[in-house]
Amino acid sequence: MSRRPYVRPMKRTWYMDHPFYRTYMIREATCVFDALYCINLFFGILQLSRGEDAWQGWLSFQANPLMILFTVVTLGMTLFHAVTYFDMTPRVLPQQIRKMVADNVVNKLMYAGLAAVSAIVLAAAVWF
Amino acid sequence: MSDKMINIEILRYNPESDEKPSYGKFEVPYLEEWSMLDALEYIKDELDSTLAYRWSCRMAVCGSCGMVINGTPKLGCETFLRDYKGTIKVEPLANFPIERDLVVDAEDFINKLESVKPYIINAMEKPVEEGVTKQTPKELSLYKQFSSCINCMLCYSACPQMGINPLFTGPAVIALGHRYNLDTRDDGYDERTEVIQGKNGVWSCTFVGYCSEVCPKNVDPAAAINQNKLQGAQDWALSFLMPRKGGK
Ligand code: SF4
Ligand code: FES
Repeated sequence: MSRRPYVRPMKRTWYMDHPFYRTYMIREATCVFDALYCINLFFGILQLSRGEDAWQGWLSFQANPLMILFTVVTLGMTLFHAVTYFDMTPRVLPQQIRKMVADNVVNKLMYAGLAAVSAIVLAAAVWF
Repeated sequence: MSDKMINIEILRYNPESDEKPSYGKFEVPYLEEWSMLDALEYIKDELDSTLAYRWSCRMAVCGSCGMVINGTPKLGCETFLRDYKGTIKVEPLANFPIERDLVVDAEDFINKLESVKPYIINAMEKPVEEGVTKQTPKELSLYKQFSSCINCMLCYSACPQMGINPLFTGPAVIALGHRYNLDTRDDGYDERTEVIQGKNGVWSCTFVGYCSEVCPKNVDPAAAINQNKLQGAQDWALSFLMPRKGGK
């Protein structure tokens, strides 16, 4: 009897093999959309500093149907990330805290925090 | 014997004659209460006595019978044939070298298990006269979930990072280290830091989370790993404020 353990190579496309992995990969991919959107926003600020014409140009670029589509997809991706992230957060908390506060309470607190921050940002946008 | 039949495809590998693994097909008559383990037993007794697989308790406590069933890491003894239709695909646990058929080489896992020092390390060896060390139910509940691991290695099979970086300490071992770190009787935190926080420790994990999904004992190893990321970040930040462990 001779030993000859067989090592199976890892497939390059391993993440396609299971629904759980696919969801994980979508979650990871959300950052690409958010990064692109941040670049877009940064570009907007740059245009704002360049004067009226540049800013108007950026605004009309945002109204391009493709840009609207991109914005909607990014929003969807960001929400997906938030929901899955909020689901994971309670489990990451130190065990001592986790034993004191139920997972779903932490989860709801995360949503409350998101709502509060969104309200502040919206209010600031309306008033200033 | 019942007249219900099911097809089972098993990834076979004989190190003495096979260049690489390939599927073997079996048609198995089964009863309502049969588990995958019963089917494998039938195959070995009636169809092909060369089939190799591991089992012992047949009641989900020994952790020997881990295998990948239709793409999902499962215990053969608590997977029931009645829940499947058509053909069932059975493979050895992923991310382990195949020794023969469904038997994988677990040596690396055992070494990792030892490396995390899975026992109570008490820096303050108490003299016997002082009596037993007490632990309240509340203190016990802190680590209880992480002590339920049966070393079935399903979580290693579920973890893609394990395949990408085979040196990764992995879910069950980190969960076990965490179990002892959370134990009020233990003083071994510093001795486990290298394994848990080192190059192949928790930071190799990207929180795919599938390990916790497949765990038959609800250990939630993903939680153990990611709680340790928070702890590690905290230790790192504190080391600037209080460089007390600098000498080690
Ligand atoms: S943590 Fe769960 S899946 Fe992993 S070896 Fe232990 S019992 Fe098995
Ligand atoms: S035979 Fe013991 S866990 Fe399945």
